[in-house]
Amino acid sequence: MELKTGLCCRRLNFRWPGKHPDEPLVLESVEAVFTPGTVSLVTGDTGSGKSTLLHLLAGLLRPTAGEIWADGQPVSRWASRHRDRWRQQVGIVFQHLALIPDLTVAENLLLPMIPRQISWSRMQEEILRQLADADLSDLADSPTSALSGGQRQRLSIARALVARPRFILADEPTAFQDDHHAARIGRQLCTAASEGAVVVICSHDLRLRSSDEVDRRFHLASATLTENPAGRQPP
Amino acid sequence: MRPPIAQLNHQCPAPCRGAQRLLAIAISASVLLGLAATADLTLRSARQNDSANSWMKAMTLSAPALWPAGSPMRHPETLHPGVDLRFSAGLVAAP
Amino acid sequence: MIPGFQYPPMAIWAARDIQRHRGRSMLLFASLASLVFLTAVALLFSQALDATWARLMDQAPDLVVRRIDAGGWAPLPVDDALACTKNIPGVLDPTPRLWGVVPGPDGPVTVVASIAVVPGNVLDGIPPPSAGQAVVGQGVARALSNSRLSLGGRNPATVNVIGTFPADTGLATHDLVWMTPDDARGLLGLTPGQASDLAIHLFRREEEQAIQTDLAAAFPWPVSITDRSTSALRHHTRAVRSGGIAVVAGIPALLALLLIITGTVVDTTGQRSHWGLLKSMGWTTTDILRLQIVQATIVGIPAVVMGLASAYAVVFYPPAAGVTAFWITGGQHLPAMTLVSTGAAMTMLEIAAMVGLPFLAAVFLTSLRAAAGSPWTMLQADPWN
Repeated sequence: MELKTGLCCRRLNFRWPGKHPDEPLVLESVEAVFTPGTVSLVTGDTGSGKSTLLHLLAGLLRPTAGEIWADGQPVSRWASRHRDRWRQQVGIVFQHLALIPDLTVAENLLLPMIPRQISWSRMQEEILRQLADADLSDLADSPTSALSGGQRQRLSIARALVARPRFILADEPTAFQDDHHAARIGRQLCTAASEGAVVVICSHDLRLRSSDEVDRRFHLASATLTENPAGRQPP
Repeated sequence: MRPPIAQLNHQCPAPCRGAQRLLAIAISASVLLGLAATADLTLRSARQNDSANSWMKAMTLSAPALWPAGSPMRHPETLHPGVDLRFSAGLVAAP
Repeated sequence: MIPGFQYPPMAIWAARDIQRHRGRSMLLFASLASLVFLTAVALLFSQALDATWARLMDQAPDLVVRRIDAGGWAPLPVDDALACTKNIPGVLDPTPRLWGVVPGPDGPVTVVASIAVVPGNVLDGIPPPSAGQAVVGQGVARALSNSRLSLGGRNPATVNVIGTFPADTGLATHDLVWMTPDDARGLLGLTPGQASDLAIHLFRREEEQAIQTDLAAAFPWPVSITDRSTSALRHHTRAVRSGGIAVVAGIPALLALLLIITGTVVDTTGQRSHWGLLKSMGWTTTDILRLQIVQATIVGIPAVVMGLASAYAVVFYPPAAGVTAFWITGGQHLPAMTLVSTGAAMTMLEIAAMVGLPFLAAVFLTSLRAAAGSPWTMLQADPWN
């Protein structure tokens, strides 16, 4: 297995802390390599553990067994402070969006960039770019609480992409989008991948399942992750 | 009407003007108050309350006037275990 | 704002975060400023009064010799007293004093007369009194309805008030009535050739205790000798003791209150989930601590400066200074408190450190405790979860 670049899961097991050892694992012996320059889609039933896998890849959770490697580094084994620092290379889109309601749209996009030694003027340029990509330029100074569900989701994606992360992990990024914006988001993620990012999406969305922008398809069921051969959609 | 995107490109989408104003107020208020206090301290130390000192010396006073006249703290030389304060010069003798 | 100058992004974000939690920040600002103000007023006043008192007492005579007999105080024969002190080594400039306490219109006043001529630079425009005239302190002048002052004493007298001592000399002259030596002798029942007591300056102040035996032995009558240091420190320390004790007891309580307020402001459930979100975006614990310290500085430094500046104003600027003196000393008789500022700068720096450093430490420790957790656990504190 190639471990030098991208995100790799090696014999990954996960059980929620506090659960009895006899209870079934959420993830069991998961092996996967998510390579740079590709968009990978993980599908599965509700409660199958897709979000959990994403949070493990982001370093928010520690595996019960096995390892996660990022660009040749065993990040899942690192101490918290090193993983926190590594997470500057990660852009996460949460399923529940996790926006700050009393900040404006543009101010939400500032958050990932503040600790990264980026100049104020460059931050403003990046925000302008992301607002245009997300079709939110007219709403830059609106409070987040005034946005629709779809607009907030596009803002959440913009926040994940604003710092040009190496690893992009998106949980149901098109759940509240119409066809036009869903396609636009697909193109956004594909563009990010073409610039060298590792993109992993967890989604039920049929539009993503059938999208040409997705390079690899995985299916999570019964705690096991399987890759579907190229071109075939999972059941 | 919202400005077109071309104009937005030259603007600051997240200016945080209020926050920058707050920073400016905090810094300038602190600096101004600090400078005012320092200037006053410098001027005050030049004055040194010489006039009170001069009158203390000229009148050969034993203690400053923080307490009322006639109290032993005002006239410490009158406080002696063997001397009844009531018999100080000029005071009407107590019954 | 200076054109071209840009604040660091972390400082801008810290200020933005303060704006988001306006109420908490204002509470913190007010409590910090109040704590600094209360502490600084007591300590600055005490320090300023110490410094002022020391300067004034530096001008007082080293020793005062009073003749006593079985009835108490007795008048001092001037020529005999001067002759007795002439041959005592270390005695400089023995000065007979004419003074006494007499009833005035609003309570006792201190009558003084200067046997020597008061220098012109001291007078500074005040006319020296002639026979039947007096120059009075602010405390006496306040009680006068016209320029006539009636005084009691052995031989009651009425004098014409021709001037008042300046307000900024109040600590020395507040209750004085300055008249001619003849008028004072008449009022106090002294004959020509008598004085109230003898003021002595020494060549070496350190000898003030040792020389008293020789001095007492030189006089043919019983004398009471008072030295400067015994009278000085004991009495002025008593003035600020009650206020000082309150401050010493109150400071730990106020610091504890500040710690509680800081903890309440910094560590809240909503704050934890917010920090968990920041950590998921690449903020480290160090970045979050840096943000909190910058926020504490933006709130804390102006609060401390404002507290110190306010305390400085109420200690050194009348009439607020009079109110402060009343509060701290509990005195009812207050000259204009024109205090010297020697050592005030150091005292203010000490107060800033005494309050500011524990405050920053409280912010640091409270934030560290809250921010050091796993981002997943912190995210779960979000009410949406």
